[in-house]
Amino acid sequence: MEFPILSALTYLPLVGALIIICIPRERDEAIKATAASTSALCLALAILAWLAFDNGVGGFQLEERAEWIPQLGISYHMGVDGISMPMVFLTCLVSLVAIAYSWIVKERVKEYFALFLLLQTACVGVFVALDFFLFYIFWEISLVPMYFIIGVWGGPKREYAAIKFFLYTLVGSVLMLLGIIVLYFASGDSPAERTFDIVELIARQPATSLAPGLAMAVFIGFFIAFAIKVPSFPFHTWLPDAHVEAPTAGSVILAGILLKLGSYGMVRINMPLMPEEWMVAAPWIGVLALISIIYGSLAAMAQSDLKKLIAYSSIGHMGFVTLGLAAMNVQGISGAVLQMFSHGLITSCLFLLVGVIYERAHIREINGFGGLGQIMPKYFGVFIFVAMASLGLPALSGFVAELYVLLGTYASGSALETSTEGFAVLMSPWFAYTAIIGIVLTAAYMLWTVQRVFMGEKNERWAGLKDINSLELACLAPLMALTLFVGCYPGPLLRPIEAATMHILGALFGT
Amino acid sequence: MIYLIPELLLVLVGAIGLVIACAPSRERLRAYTVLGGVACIGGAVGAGYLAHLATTAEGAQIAESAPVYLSTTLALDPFSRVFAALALLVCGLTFIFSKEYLERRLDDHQPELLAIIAFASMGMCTLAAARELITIWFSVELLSVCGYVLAAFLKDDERSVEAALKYFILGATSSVFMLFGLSYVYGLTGRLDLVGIMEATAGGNIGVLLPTAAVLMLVGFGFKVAMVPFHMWCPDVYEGAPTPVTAFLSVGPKLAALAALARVFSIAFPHDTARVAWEGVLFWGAILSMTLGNAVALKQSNIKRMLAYSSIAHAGYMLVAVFVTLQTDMALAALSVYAFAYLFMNLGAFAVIIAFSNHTRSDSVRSYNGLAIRSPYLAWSWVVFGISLVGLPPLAGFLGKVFIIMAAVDTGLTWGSPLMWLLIVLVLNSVVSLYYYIGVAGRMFFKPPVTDEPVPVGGGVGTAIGICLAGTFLMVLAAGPIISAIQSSALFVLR
Repeated sequence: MEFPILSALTYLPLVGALIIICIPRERDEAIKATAASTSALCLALAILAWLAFDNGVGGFQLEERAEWIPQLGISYHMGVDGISMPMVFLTCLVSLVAIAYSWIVKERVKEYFALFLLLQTACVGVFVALDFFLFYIFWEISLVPMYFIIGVWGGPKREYAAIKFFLYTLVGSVLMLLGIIVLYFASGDSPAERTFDIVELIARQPATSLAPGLAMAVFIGFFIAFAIKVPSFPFHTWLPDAHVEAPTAGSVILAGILLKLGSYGMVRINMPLMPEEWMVAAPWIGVLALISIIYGSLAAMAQSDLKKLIAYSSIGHMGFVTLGLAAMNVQGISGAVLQMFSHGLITSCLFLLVGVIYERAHIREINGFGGLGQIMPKYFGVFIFVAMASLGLPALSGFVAELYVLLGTYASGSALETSTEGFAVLMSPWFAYTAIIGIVLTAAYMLWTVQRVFMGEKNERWAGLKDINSLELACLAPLMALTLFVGCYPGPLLRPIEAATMHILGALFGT
Repeated sequence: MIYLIPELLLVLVGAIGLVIACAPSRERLRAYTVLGGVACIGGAVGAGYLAHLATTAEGAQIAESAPVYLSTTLALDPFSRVFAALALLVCGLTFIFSKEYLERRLDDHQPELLAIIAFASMGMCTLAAARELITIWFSVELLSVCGYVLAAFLKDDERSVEAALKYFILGATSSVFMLFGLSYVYGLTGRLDLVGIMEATAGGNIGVLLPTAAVLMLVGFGFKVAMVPFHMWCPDVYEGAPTPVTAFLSVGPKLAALAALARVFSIAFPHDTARVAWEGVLFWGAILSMTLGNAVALKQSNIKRMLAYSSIAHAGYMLVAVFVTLQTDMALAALSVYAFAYLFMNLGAFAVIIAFSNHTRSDSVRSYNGLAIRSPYLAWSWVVFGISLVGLPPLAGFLGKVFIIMAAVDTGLTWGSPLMWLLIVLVLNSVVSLYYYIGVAGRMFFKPPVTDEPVPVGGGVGTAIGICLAGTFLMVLAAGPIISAIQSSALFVLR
């Protein structure tokens, strides 16, 4: 038997958390070192897994399968394809960065790091699980540590934000649970035939045997669960609260990884499992995505709190992901997955940068700053770089991803000929044109923010602020380097994503 | 008659308690608590084995060779042995987590309390196994009378006495309703055994009296289960009774009555109008119990009252499984799985409360502020039990809820059917329940403590929490064997 690298990757953080529980409360340094080394080991394992992964192949690889509850068709099934592999890597990278940045935490250190590692287990688990039961377990576990991270180490309104986050996402999850069970019963006539295996379910397309109303209801149940997590308009209202109140590292994980669970669910489950319903719903999903993009950007522009601005910008950027998925063609979906990766890098940087300034100034009011460029030149440079990445400057990853999404959306609206071969015409080119407005708005609020915070008169109140230190720079550097690398040379990342996308679409349309 | 071992063991444990009560001493009480608890938990494992044995051909033979007076009164089938295992488990855990409470909070008559709990657990076993009306009546009364006495055990505390009186008056009234229903059934059919009643009414044309009688019986069971609208006693009794007794009452009688409900109504009244009547009452009873239980629990400031209302909601979830008994084979398996999950998580939650109040003498939700600093063990245990009670994975409550949803979907769910709305109510109620379970957890972790003084956890109650934690965690991970045992036993029941 081969080394079960995906299981190792999933449970290693859990083991780290258990070790931390055994370390005495006072030994902060030992706890931090354990957390960091566990997380670093995970990143190394993720890289090893990616090296063992064949980028040119579309299906699932590194699969692990074992009996679990055979009476109910539940198995322990894990595997990665070109979509989940980058996400697993991203999760390990962002978690390591978050844990490294958390070195400054002084309060209840033991619980803090144990919860972060538990969160990492849950997120990796969601990306590698190929059995609905397993998937759902990891999906739900991810809520619990986040609730405590926001609630214990968060800002002034943390209790409200934490419970709101938990309740909101749970509403979606329980609807998904109903959907999962309905699909399970539709997957076979006798208990022995039924299965919870996602790959097997996609092959059997159980939704086609359901009554039309019920099939659509199941689809909507899944979609709401994922749309809440993304979050897509109109299910986004938990996000600004959760982000503003969460501690910096919590925001980084929330924006960098947890939001991706939603869009990952759409591409892994919603679309391939119920393609007919997806095609019916695609224009509406596209409209929701557009509203998210425009509304998120406009709302970001109106914010006076720097962290809230970044939170709303996430809603806008994640709108591109849903838009690309709604296009349901290779470019659109690949662009969406690329955007997930790229947004994970960029938004993590942005939240880290907000954390850096908040740590020093203890305020986040954009208008309270001014002239910081002279006081903190290095910080200024880094911020400019990340802001440019966020607004989609060419040669940085955001540009490539959004370009792909727009191309896919446009093609989905104009490829009249291909529609006869199965690639349905889902949207009009106007979707692409409208989305471009969002890019312009993003540029506007990002530049305006840079101007208000860094330009202008030097504010004497902040004259004593120290520039960004080496720990913070070390946290940011790998994310920025990857942003630049993917922006200049997206090939290595796009290859597995496109292979997986074509595999999914090929299975659906027989092309 | 090896199938009777659980009942006999409980009688023995209870009798020893009464003997000890004649000459009580600290040492004897301690030995009795520990040994009785261990014996019952060991007995639960044995009962689990009996349940397994009864599914085999050899086991069935043993059951058939039982003397007539036994085989006509008690169904010694796998389903009843599963609930006997539950009864022994409840009894054993109650013994163990009562240890410190009895030593510190009660001045005298401690062995009697445990003995009565053992007798009540015996009533649980027979109620879940009863196959004719007199045995049902006897079991219900045994459970009830024990319950009245238990609720009054803090005899100097006004609230305890009030609780007992309230429990007694309402309980007696509901018993009368039930007896009235039983007498009608007997009068209409001339039979006392459930199968006989079914046969006597199989020809149809049963008039309105049989459905009426079935509903009257349902009032009695509904009272034991605390199904809305027969739940009024529940919060006051739970608040007033000594906390270990509350824990026992919230699990024991409830589960036994649910098992009896499933058996009695699906065997005796499977025919048209009577079936429509009891299924209709259960449908609305389930919806109202879930919704009202959770909604009112949101507003409670006393943690025992909160758990009282939450237990009403849990009864509602289990009533969904009872509601579909006649429509799917999975229903009884779902009920059994949920019953095990509920036992571990609810007794665990109560054990946390007992450990806390042993030290602080307080049950107000507010006093739990900052518990995470004062006792991480209690706080994290509460998180686990709370999350399990909500029904989140990977814990026992999740498995239970999945089973209930599966049983309901297995009936051939269609768009817009009443069952679909029932399921939607069920899952949305889980979300509502998150608010108060995790809200208390939020107090423990997010609020500053009143004092920094640690809360010591006694050995007995700490062990009970540990057992419940293990049960809550292991039910999903070791789900394969547990499910196959329960599933095969549930298939045998309707004989």
